[in-house]
Amino acid sequence: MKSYILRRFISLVPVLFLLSLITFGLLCITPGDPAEMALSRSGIDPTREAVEAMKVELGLDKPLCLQYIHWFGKALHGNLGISYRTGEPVTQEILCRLPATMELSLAAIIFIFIVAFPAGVFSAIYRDRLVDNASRIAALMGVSLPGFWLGLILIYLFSMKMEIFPVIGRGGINHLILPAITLGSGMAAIYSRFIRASMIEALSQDYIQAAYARGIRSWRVITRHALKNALLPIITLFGMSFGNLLGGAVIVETVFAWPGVGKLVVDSIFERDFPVIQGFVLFMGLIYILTNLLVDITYTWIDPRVRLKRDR
Amino acid sequence: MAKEGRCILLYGFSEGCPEMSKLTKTKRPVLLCVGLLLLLSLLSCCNGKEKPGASSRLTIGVGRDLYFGPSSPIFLHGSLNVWEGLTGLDHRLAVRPQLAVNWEVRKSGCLWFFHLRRDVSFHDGEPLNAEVVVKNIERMRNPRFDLYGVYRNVKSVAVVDQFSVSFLLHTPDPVFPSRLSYFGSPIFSLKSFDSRGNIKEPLGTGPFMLKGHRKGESITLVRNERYYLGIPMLKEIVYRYIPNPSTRVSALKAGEIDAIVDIGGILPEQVPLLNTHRDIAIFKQEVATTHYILFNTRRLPFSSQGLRQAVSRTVDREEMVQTILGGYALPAREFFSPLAQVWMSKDPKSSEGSTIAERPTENASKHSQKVILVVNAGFAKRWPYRPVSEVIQASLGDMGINAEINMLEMGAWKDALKRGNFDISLCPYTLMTGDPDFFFSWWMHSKGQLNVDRGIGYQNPVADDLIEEARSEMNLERRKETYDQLQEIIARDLPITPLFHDVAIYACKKRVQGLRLDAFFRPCLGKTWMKIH
Repeated sequence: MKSYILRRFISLVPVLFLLSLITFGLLCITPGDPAEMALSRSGIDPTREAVEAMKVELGLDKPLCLQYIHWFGKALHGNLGISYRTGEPVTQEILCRLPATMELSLAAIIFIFIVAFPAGVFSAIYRDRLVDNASRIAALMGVSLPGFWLGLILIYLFSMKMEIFPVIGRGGINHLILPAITLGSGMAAIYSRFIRASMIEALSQDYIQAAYARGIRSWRVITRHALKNALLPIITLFGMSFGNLLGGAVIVETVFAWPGVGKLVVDSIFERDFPVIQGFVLFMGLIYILTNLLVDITYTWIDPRVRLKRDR
Repeated sequence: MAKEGRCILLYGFSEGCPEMSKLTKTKRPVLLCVGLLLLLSLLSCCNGKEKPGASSRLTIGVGRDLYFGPSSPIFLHGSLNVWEGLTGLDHRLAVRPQLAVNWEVRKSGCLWFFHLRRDVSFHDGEPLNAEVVVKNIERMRNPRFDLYGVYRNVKSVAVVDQFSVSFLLHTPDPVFPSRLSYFGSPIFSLKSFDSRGNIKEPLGTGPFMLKGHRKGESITLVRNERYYLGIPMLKEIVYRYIPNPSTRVSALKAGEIDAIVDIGGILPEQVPLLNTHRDIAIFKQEVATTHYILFNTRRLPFSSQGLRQAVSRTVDREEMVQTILGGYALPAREFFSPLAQVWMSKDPKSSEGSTIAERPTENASKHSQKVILVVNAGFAKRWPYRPVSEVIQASLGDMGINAEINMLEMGAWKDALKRGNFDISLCPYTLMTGDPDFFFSWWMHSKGQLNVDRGIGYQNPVADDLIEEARSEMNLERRKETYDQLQEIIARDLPITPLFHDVAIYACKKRVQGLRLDAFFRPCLGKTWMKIH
């Protein structure tokens, strides 16, 4: 197992290198001058002299390959450069906001688990009955409603009318509820349908019939035998969708004025803040890879067959 | 197989003890949930939420991040009232004293003397004097900080006495004090700068001082107890960055913020929603921003002067202002903000043209090709550019011109215009110095930066000569005459045509008193106070 994890960590380096190279290439062909965009933040169109001076300051007057080598060399030492917009270190810019996004994503995951597992399991047990049909309609709505719309509706209902939750910002748990529901609703809908399908398949297996035949209680059969076996594909889905969750946070962060990394990246894209975008892509790549590594390790925890195969 | 698997799993977690394994397995999901909730609480606590509600604390919602950071010449936007310039502009865009109490000019406009206030100190307690001002100006002469080229004409700056500085210019400049206003001459304590001239900490002279900044979230200011115009009434101001317009308004209604005060802070269509709230007061303020239609004069069909005039005449500005902007704008006939009354032509030439405008019906066959109307999506978040562009599209359709609207984000929009990949576009422009030269030199001169960068391609040697002549003309009457001539030329040639003059909408809770906006969207916070319930 250790050698497997080590191998996966070593494979991180070329993946992140390629990721950064592709991102840099794409940014270079994007229209818009980063120096001009950085200087235009106050709403003033800067003079050409100011733009040229800024280019020299930021090293944008150098050939593209040199710019990349310079950036990559510093990145290898853990220095992701300086933000064009603010002149502050990129690592600081990202790390300041990352906890807010992680907090939001974590809350959304809890919401997904709370909603999707009961909905999926009960839909599978009471297949084609009222619970299943209601869950299907709710899932359809969850997938169809755009995040920004749902967020505004939730604000209207729960903040304006009922005055239960705050409209904006990050604070206590009460600040988290509406953004987490908005972020997690689409994913919860997908998960509930996936869990349902997976549970139906698991419940139709021979060992479930055998468990019932042995007189094990129904609830125990469902939770210990069926659900555990139904979890594998769901964990795979989780690994794949964690990045989507972070990506989806961009819209939620904008609607709820949540000071996360998503909003930073959107602002950075609009203002051509290349170092921040590069840094964010690296961070996201790292999170994606680590999440999938965690998923692989979780397989062995949940399904010993995987571990046994690997041990052999 | 499943049973075998379960045994291995149990062994791994409970060291083979059946009782322990039972306990762990039963409580595992509960423990996981509790753990996640604890982690969430911990993350939430890290944020250190501030307590709302002290009556002398004002929370303002803004749609953009006003923190610019060390790479900017000013660190924080001027709207925060942290730093000040040597001069300012009043509501009629006339220059007024700020850190400089008065000024005089010698040597036919090439030598300017500015006399400073003697009672000003910076936020760190250091006094304002001529030496500090000269060092600030030397810093601003670095092209990286001189955003709109104020100091290109400055030959040298020197200390005259403890409270007087002199500027020697290359060529006479009759409106040099106006150029130094607002963003033109931000003055900071010398302790603010690092060795490269970047600002580490914005120690200005304004009525409020920076207390804290939460990245992407808020900026907190506290009052400057040493402010030379009197101690501000508010103890603390928090600027909350709320990018979504609907959320901003919801936050105001819910009482989480006390005011919305910024460029595009409240959109015209949101006014009826706020009007229903008894607790909210809505205000409007004419500002120095004018919105224009830009034509690409370098290619057909808008290389035709007659067609440009026809378009300008066809667009119904009154209707546009009433229906789309809810009356929160002024239909534009003049080429720059009418707030600059002193520069308005006595006999204003209509921007709609008259003499050689092509009749709409003649154009249908002549300009059958589709034209591209490029709209900046960033501007569309602040002003209703989408419906405005649709009105223009309809007007062009009435003329038999088929127009396609392309919404582009800021970088792509600038690139498209610079490359000339458009036929018609929309753009706002603020007369930052209150002086017509700031409009004509940038937009109408053949080498004018916005004329070139916005892809207009206007060339008129007569206009170029007049612009250069007016720029250094010290006689006010002659200068006005020259600008009248220029307005006449531009009204005829119409490389750009004004659509409407901006009126900023801002709102606050009725307990907020004395909150006013200036002509540059900047709230005047020194005299703002809050009623205590």
